[in-house]
Amino acid sequence: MTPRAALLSPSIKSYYSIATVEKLTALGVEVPLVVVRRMVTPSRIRDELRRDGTRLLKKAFSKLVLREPATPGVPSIREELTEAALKEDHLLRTCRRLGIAIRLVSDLNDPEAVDAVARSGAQGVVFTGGGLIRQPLLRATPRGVLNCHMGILPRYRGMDVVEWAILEDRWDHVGLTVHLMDDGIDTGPILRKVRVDPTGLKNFTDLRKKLHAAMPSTVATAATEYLSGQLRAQPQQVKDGKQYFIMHPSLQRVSRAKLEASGPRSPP
Amino acid sequence: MHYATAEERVSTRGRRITWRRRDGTHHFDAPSTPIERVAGRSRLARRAARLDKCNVVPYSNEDRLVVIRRGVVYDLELATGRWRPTLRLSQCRNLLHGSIARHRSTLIFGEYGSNPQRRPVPIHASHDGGRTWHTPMRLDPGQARHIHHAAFDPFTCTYWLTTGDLDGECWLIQLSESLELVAIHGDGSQLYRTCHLWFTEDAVFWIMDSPLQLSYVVRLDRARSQLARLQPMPGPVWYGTTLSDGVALAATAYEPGPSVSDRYAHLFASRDLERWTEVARFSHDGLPRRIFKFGVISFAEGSCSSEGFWVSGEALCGLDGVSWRCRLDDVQGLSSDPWQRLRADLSATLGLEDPETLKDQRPSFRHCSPSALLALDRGSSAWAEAITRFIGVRRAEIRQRVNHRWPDIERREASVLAVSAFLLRCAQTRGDARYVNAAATLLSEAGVRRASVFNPLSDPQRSPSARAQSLVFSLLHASLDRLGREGRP
Repeated sequence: MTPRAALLSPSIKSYYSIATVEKLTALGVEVPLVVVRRMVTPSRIRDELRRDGTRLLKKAFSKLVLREPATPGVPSIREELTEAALKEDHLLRTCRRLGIAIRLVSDLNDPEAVDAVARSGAQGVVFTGGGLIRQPLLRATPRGVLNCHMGILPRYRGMDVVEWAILEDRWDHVGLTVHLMDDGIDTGPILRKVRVDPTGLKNFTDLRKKLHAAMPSTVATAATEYLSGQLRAQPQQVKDGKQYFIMHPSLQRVSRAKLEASGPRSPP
Repeated sequence: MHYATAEERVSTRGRRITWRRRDGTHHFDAPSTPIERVAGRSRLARRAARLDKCNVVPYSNEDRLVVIRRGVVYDLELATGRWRPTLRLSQCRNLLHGSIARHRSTLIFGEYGSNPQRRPVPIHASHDGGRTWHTPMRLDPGQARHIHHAAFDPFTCTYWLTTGDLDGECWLIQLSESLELVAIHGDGSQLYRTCHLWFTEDAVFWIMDSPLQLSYVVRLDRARSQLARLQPMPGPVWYGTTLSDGVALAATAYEPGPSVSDRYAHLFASRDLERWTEVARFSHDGLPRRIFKFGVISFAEGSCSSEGFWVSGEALCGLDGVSWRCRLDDVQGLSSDPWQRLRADLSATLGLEDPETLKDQRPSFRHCSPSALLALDRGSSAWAEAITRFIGVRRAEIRQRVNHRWPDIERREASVLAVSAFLLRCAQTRGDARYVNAAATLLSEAGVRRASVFNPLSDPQRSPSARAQSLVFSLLHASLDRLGREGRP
């Protein structure tokens, strides 16, 4: 039986969503529906400002204006896209090319979005961003929602976990974890962990770029194997990890200095 | 201010030396050229041309001063006012303040010049109170750039000289009373680069004067010759002193270098020479440092207590070319546990109710009043988790929430400080960096900042909350330093 997965996307310009759709289809997963959150809505701006504060402007500028500029020697998510997708530069066009239905919503938890996912016939959902997911959407498909977290679970849950791992000298805890989402923050059962060596990278921008580039194939492979029954989820205990929050600039400076000082040596 | 006791004071301004004594005030103008006299009228010109620089050692019972100015050592007699040159320096114009070792009628100092060729650095001595001089030794060529400091060690009756500046040039040289070499301590590294030594029976202490590496308080155990690196400092320490009641003072300089963490000169105090507490800081005045001097605080020699001691400053806001008489208002608190001090300060500031009654409250941010927090055991992680979570998840609401709950500014600040202090203590006991993050975020969002300039003259009754503020920021910076080194707060 062909695995079927719907995809949730934070915006029509998301390279991560475009690359994941392409990888899923290339791996033989049928993608019946892509649900995309509208980029500019008052509630979204309010929610993201509440979460990110002024960092939101920097983030928006980096993602929408700079569009992930290439750094020599650092993998970029653009390299994960096919030539056609790069040319299209738009999730709508890619979905049209691949024959995938697409639905624009103001919030991924809107009843119409939940209903569309439930009726798409997807076994599971791949989440590529777009805000908090609530229970109805989590239960809309039989096998749940998969997320690729930019940190190693269960130790590092929450925000800025790349910086937190370096700050705490846990160099072996930098990487990606694909897990099933539940109503906690990054507390759902774990499907796959991929560790990434952070040493030798000059800054967190490059490290995040390297992690970002690895995300589409990591989540697509894990989703394919999970939906076809080759991969089993391992539950995690709440006590096994900590939830981290946005890092204050004073701690960021310390973390950045550690990364810069890491040089080309191997992690301790 | 060069020298101060209860009975006399020696200060300088430009080329003029003022000696205040019981029998009156005496002024002496140093020999100078017409150009110096014209330039000396402007503070900026004095700074740029280093016209203020001089060293003065008084011999009150003999009614005379030993003065070093513009490369000449003078014997200045009160009665005649005559400037009699006794020695010409070959490599420098002046020394660092307080860098002349004085024991009975013996004076010893080493030259402090730029010495780019690393010529042998002369060490001069006088056994008749500066009337005549000889040069008992010179450092080997290339051994050091210059001498930073000379001091008499009363516990071993030896003289110590410290050298600098670069790696391979920083040594502690110990000479006998007869000026013979006893020992050379150190490996030449920046760890031994210092401008002031403190002596105790068991140990020799110094604070590194390195703009190249993070400066630490260092303890040399006399018996075991063991070196211990203690507290880090925010910049290189140039000057230090010990007051008559045992309080030690040290000041960091604002100069170019990777180890200088901010644009302040910090004043630290300690009772045990191991734990240093910041008591004031002064911002650099912003003029180009290479031309118009680094931001530096120096101390008067003589005998002063923490009830009234003198600090002088250069290139600092409010402290440029002037000296202040200062008082430390919490001398006992310098060596006590910062947490206990914080509790005492906040309790005194806020007039809190009996905090014991609040111990059983369920942890939530709503209950994070100073009273509740001061009642808690410092290891109460459930509270720390609850507050950290609240601050992390609802960061954007903090400012609004804090302002609403504590509308009175003084009380609001004290409450934020109490919450932050509690988090920082939990961070230390539990080794959890997230609590440091929460404290830093709370302080930022609530707009609580460390006072940039503290003027001991205009604010002699420094408020308990200002002390609490200083303590919380000291805790925060200590946690950040430790995170940088060990990954644990």
